[in-house]
Amino acid sequence: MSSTLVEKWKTSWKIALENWSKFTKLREPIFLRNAQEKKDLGIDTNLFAMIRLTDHSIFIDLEKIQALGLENYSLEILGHEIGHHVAYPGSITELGKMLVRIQKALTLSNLTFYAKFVGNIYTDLLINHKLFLEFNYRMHEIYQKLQTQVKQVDAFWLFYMRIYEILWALPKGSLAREEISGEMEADAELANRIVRNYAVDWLKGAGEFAILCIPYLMPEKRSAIQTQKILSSWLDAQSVNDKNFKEFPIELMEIDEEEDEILHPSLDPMLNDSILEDTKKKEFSDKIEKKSKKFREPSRLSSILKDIGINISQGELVYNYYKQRALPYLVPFIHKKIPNSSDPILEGFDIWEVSSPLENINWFQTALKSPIVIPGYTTLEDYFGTDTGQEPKTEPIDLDLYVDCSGSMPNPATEISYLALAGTIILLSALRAGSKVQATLWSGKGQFKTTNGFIDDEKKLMEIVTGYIGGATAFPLSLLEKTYANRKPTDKKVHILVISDEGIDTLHTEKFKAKSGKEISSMAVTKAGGGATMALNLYYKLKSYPTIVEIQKQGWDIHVVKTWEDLIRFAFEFSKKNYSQNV
Amino acid sequence: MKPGPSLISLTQRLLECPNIFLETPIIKFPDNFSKNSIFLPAVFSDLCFYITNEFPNSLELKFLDLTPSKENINLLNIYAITCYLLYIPFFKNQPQLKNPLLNLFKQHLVGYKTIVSSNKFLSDSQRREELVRFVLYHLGYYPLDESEKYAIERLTTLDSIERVKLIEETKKAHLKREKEIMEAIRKREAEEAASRMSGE
Repeated sequence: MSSTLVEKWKTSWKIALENWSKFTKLREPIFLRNAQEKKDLGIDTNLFAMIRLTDHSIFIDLEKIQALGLENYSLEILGHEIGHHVAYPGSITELGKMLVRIQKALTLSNLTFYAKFVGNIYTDLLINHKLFLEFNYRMHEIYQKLQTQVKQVDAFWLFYMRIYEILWALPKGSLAREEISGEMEADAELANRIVRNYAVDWLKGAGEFAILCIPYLMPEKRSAIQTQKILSSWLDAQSVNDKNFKEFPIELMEIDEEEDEILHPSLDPMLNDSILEDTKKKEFSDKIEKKSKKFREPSRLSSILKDIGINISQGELVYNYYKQRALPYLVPFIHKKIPNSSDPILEGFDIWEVSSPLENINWFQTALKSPIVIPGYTTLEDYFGTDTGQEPKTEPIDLDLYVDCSGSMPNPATEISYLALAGTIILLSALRAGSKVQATLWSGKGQFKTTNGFIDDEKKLMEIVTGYIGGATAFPLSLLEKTYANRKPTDKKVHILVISDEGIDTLHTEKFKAKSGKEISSMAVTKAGGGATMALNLYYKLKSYPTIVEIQKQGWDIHVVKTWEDLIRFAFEFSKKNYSQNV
Repeated sequence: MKPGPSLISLTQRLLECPNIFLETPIIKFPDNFSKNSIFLPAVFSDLCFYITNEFPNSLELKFLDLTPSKENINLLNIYAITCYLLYIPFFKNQPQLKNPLLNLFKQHLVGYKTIVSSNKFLSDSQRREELVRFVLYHLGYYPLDESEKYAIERLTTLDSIERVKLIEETKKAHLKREKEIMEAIRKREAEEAASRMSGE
């Protein structure tokens, strides 16, 4: 391969970059000259151009480009790759958000496995339209060249090419070389409107575009096999294209307001020019504005991350998910007022050095020492020691947290578990206040996971709280006994908190060795010294559960929640009461 | 058909169209005259004279006499924009255009009454192109530097009136497909429920 070709592409790179914007910051692409260079860089794709969204590196396989006869389209290809970086999708988060919408649109027809392909086509349309219209790039010629790879094209290709013909006012047949049915013509026209109308708010158009693609992805229409073959070397933005990327994109947790508003474009008032649609447009935007914030389930988030190529472990995902959701409810960090625990006391004078603040000089003592002031020699400043303060130093109460995880509870890794979320809010608040926490997840007899002691390791604690057992129900009396039996009155105070439902009656009905649950419970409440609380999801009024009433009489503070979601409010108030100040 | 003015010159003219053409035009003079709107019969008459050297008679202006409604005002705005579009030297002194011109206003532009909002003919590039091609076509011209075949084909692609019909078809096809899928899902669920029942 000639070095002139590389130089030519390098020059084009500068022009393409400047065409998009003078302020675009992207490093020069890595030009791959042969298979060995690809191997050395660990690139094992068939693509002739690709952008890695994690670090925005662009790879250009010049050997492949020459084989396809595209060596004279440097501006077009480089401009296209920059477009993926600058605008469509622009970031991993946007890529994820787009795929969510497309998957939703394709779900009913069982075509979700085409989401990445459709997403790539959609972003390509947006980029290519801009390149053709604004920079006069010869994008259509690339597609003309690419389609010579196959003898026959499929319906998807015809549909895709017809969109370009309409967008760019190309003569019929210049790209879509077979007959176009009336339905396809209408679909292509609608797609053209999506590209033009949603160029700025492009995520909104993603789902609608996917709906238009459905008829051409069906098996009876040859499932876009030929299209995928033609574009196999240029489907460059289907994922992050980086196996080592493991960051958690927080923004994908939240469900965007418009995600559920995927209409067939023919029903979208925003794509209609009719004056009669004006009222509908207003209603449509009002409808979107009224929706409240929603979050997706962890399992759904996990599948989205997999789709965009982020290989994050389930443990990491669950940890990040619950932590991020808990953050808005946490107590603020405590601003410690140090002077309360130690008062300064004047003990004498010291030499004032030139590096010290000028206002520290004690001029009276300096003048007494010598009438001639020599900085650093005769200058004096006050010297302070410390004494025990008037206010006693406060110490936060530790937390002993028991989260019920019997079979009736949801698995936090697959669907949102409000028990895990409430536990996370409380334990993170406790840690912020300087407390240590013992976290226990419990289910049937002998089935529990615990930190086995009071610790301040956030990750280990959350690993317990967001874990899953899903067995029978029996409160871990053995652990309660072990934690409190030998506790002395001088030991640090502990607040015991249990999150459960009516299954908590096993605290009294079960036994551990010779001791009854009642005895152990009573002993624990007394010895903990910092209080005992239960947040219970009960269907009936508390008095309908005699065992729980008995538990309450032992000194447990019982909070009844009607739905699991109510645990969030409980967790927020509990944290505020116990950890918003050092107690 | 004959070659007419270039597409770009006419779409550019639409881009530069003064806002007054989008204000509600006046069709009865002088009761509700306002400086902020145009008197459409006068504007249309001027255009006719400019092109055909003849003023239209009151019968020929009858089509402008519309009852006020959202759709009718939209149509009057489209008329106003079209008058502005055609008032260029290329069309001056062409008496043979009298009938095509009257037909354009009386018969063809009416199709846009509810389909395209008049401001779209100024703000949207494809609608600008459509109006230019539509008007040229009905006056017997195609844009300069284009072939007649391409001009007709492109107008067919952009034709909003035709498109509405096609989109209506595709909407029906989509709803039918959705219904079929939902029915298939319901059927499958019912079968699964029945097989569970028999298993128990």
